[in-house]
This record gives sequence, C-alpha cells and structure tokens, in this order.
Amino acid sequence: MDLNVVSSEYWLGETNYSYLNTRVRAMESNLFRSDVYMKLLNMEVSQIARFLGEGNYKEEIESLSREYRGVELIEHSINKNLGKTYNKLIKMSGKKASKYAFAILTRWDIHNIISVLRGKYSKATAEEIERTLIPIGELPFSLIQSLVKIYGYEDVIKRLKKIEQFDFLDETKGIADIESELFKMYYKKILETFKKENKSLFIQFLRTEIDIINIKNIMRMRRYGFAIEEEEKNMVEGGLFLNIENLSSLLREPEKEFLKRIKKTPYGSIIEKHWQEKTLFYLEESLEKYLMECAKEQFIGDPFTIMPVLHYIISKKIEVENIRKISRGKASNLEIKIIEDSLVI
Amino acid sequence: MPQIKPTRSELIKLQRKIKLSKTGYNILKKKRDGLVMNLFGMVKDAKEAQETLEESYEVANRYLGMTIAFEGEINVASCALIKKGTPQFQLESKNIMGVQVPKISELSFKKGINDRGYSILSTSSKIDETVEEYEKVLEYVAKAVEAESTLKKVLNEIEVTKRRVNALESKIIPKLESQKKFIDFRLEELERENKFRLKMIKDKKSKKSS
Repeated sequence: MDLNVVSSEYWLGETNYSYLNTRVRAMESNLFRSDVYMKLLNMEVSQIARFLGEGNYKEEIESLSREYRGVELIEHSINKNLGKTYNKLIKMSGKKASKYAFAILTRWDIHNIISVLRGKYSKATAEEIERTLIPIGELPFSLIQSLVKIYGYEDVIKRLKKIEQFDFLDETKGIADIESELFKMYYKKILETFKKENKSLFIQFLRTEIDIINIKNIMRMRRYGFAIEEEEKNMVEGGLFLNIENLSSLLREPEKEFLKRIKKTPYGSIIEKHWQEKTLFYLEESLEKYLMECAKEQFIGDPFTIMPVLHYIISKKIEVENIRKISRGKASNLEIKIIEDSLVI
Repeated sequence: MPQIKPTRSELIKLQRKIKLSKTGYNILKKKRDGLVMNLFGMVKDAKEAQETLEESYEVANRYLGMTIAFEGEINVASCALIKKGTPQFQLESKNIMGVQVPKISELSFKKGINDRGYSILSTSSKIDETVEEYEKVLEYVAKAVEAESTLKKVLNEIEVTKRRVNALESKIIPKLESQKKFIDFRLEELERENKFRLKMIKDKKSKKSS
C-alpha cells in the first residue's frame, strides 16, 4: 500500500510549463467522459470492477484483487490510483508546485491523522485503523503507519508535535477539539502561504470551499442546536463571501431573514432549492457539486501557469468520486436517478 | 385408597382442601382468561414494535448506503472508529396480573451532534443523519425487546396457569372429591356396622333377660 510519498519540497525539480502542460493534456484525455459514466450507471458492481481493470485502473485493480472484493476493491483501487496520479503530477510540476502540493496533499494527511487519533481514542485495533487510511499525503505514509503502532492517543499527539506543522496540538484536549484544530490550522496555513496571491484562482477556490464548509456547519447547527462555546470551534475563518461575524449573525437569524441574507451570496439559490427538505443530505451534495463545478470552470487558465495541473487534480478527484458514487450507490441499491444527480459531469 | 384414614378429622381436612382448590381453580381460571385477553393487545404491540424496528432499520441502512456512496466507505469507517461506549439503559420491571415483565426506561441513545465524539468540521450532516437513524434503531430495538420478552413471559404464564387450571379441574379436585366420597362411604359403613353391632348386643341382652 505504501506509495513512498515524501514531502514534496525535498524532491521537486525545476518547473517546465510547456512540458508540464503537454503531459497534463495527455493525462486529461484519459479521464472518463460523461458517456462512460452513463455506461457505468447501467453496469453491476462486478462489471464496473472489470471495466476499471481493463483501463486506467488496471494496475491497482490487479494488485489489490487478492486483498479486496467487489465494491471495496473498487474504492481502494481508485484511492490508490489517485495517490499515484497526484504523486506523479507533483513530481512533474517541479518546485513552483510545492506549495500547491502542500495545500492538496495535506488534506489526506489530516484525514489519516484524524483516523489514527479516533482509533487510538476509542482503543480500536491496528487493523481497524489501517483500513481507514488512504496512502496519499504530504507526510510519508510510513510515518502514518508508524503512528498506528504507537500505544495511546496522547503518545500519538506527542509524536505529531515533533513535526513542525502539527506543533500546535495539545494532548490534553479531546478528539473533537483536535479534529477542529487540525482543520482550522490547515486552512489558516494555506491562506498564509498564498497571502500574496489573494486574487489567484486557487485562493478563490479555497475561500469558496471555506464558505461552503461554514454554510454546511451553520445549517447543521441551526437544525440540531448549538452551545455558544461550540459555535466558534465549528467555523473556519477566511471565507470568500461570509466572514465569522456574518456567519455568527446568520446562525441566529430567523428563517426569513436568513434566506433573505443568504440569497445575496452565490449559494443562495442552492440553499433556497433545498430549504424545505427534511434532510441536509441533498443540500450538502449540491453545495459540493457547485464547488467542484466552479473549480473545473475556474482552473482553465494560462497554460504557462500551474492552472492546468490544478484543473487536472480537480478533474481526477471528480472522476474518482463519481466512480465511487456509482459503485457504492449500486451496491447499496440506490435509485439510478439519485446517483446520476450526484455526479459531477 | 389405602393411605387415607377414613376418619372424621380427615374428612374435615379434605373438605377444607376441596374448598381451597375450588377457590384457587376459580381464581386461576380468571387469571388465565385475563392474561389471554391482555395477550391480544400485547401481540399487537409486539408486532407493531417489530414492524417499526424493521422499517427503521431499513431506513438507517439506506442512509448508511447513501453516506458510504457520497462520502466513501473509508470516511464512514473512520467516523465509526470514534464510537463511544456501549449504549446504556435502565431496566425495571412491572407487574401484569402477577407476572413480572421487563420495562426498559431512560432510553438515552440519542446524542447531540457535539456529544458524538467527532468534530462538526471534519464530518458532514450525512454522518449526523445516519447516526441519528441508527440511534432510532437502537431505541426501537429496546422497545421490541421489551414487547417481545413481555409477550414471552405472559405466554409462559398462560401456559403454566392453563396447566394448573387443568390439573385442578381434571385431577386434583376430582381426586379430592373421590377421597371425600370414600371417607363418607367408609364413615357411613362404620356407622351402619356400629348400629348393627349395637343391635346385636341389644338382641343378645334381651334374649338373656328373657
């Protein structure tokens, strides 16, 4: 499973945009088109696995087929393929991509660290924890695996504190607080890294993502209630249209006023469409779909910049998520319409 | 009936036993009928609880399926790692016509989103809603268990009561009555023998005197 991911700053070479752009365009041409998804929607899980095994995911499907079966084989293979692709891409992109590599790959580090900490907190077995890890990230995967072998929750945090980017962690805090801090610190560090490029498309994307995370969380807090001390923990600073003060007042607004104010943002129409629904399921799905579509549209820019790479990264992520939604949806007997509506095509 | 002494005191004891058995028989019969009448309501409750449980389990599974599809199995498994302890409930008992049945109270399976262990920032409402559905399932499991074990206990009690009523009706009371009849017969016979003996003595005395 180890893809030998090492911190990007150590191994990246010089950036050659014309070479990079040609390679990325070639890689983009291998991504699934909308008609492939329609074909996958009409297949059974085993047929989807066979189809993937005959194409771009052949290597991963073959290497993991002894360990996993059916839909699990598909999910683990696409994750492994995503890790391999990102690694290849960042290596190709050179030194100018290192901060983007940090921004993109650290998300998986956070996922992996949170999984290890959750497992340690509830005293899960090493096997249970390992099944939740994804071999992608800025940190070497072997480091993540070594954390699983450390005895307790506090010991894992003490080990993490030795890594510069996680030195803010406090082993006396509960798991939920640590999770929130990891996320907030992640966005804070990225926004700091890209401080000078405040109007770059990548930052616009990140800030839109922060807005969407905050909207999703205030919708959850409005629905389930919240304690004042929890409010701040659940919001991330740096949104594009909504800052913490706006969010805090939105959280307390009555229904009509909330809708009136949120309509002034680009997310208003999505929220209004799903407002009457009993579940937040489809609202969240629509907001995430909006984010992905925005990124896909925005990251088409100058070929002599990092934009084509970012476009490919998003497109690949969308492809992997679409395959997962189709295969998992099929395995759970979800209606084709629900799966189809959730796809970003 | 060799073991029964055909005495008057034994007869009095038997009469008391018969009276007690008949009273017990009437009470048990009423208890059996009462339990049978209650049973219909309990069967309905247990059936409803079972149906609700099945429906809620189906809904929860559907939510889980959707969450796994949209969030990925790895993310859901990661959230599941945080499971906090075993669900707790208070087990009491209540009395239905002398039958002690379990009563599950203080069902506190529902937790607020801030009490589930995970952070709101690192999860989505899909996880919340799935957890909420499974919390409902746990509640319905407890209700179904309560209804089903009540039903089993009451059914068992009806069976025991039925056997007791039948035993009293067709074995104990008839046996006691036949014993009473035997003693009555023996006492009557003894009386007749006594009368006959006295008559004989009287006849002998009168013959001697004449």
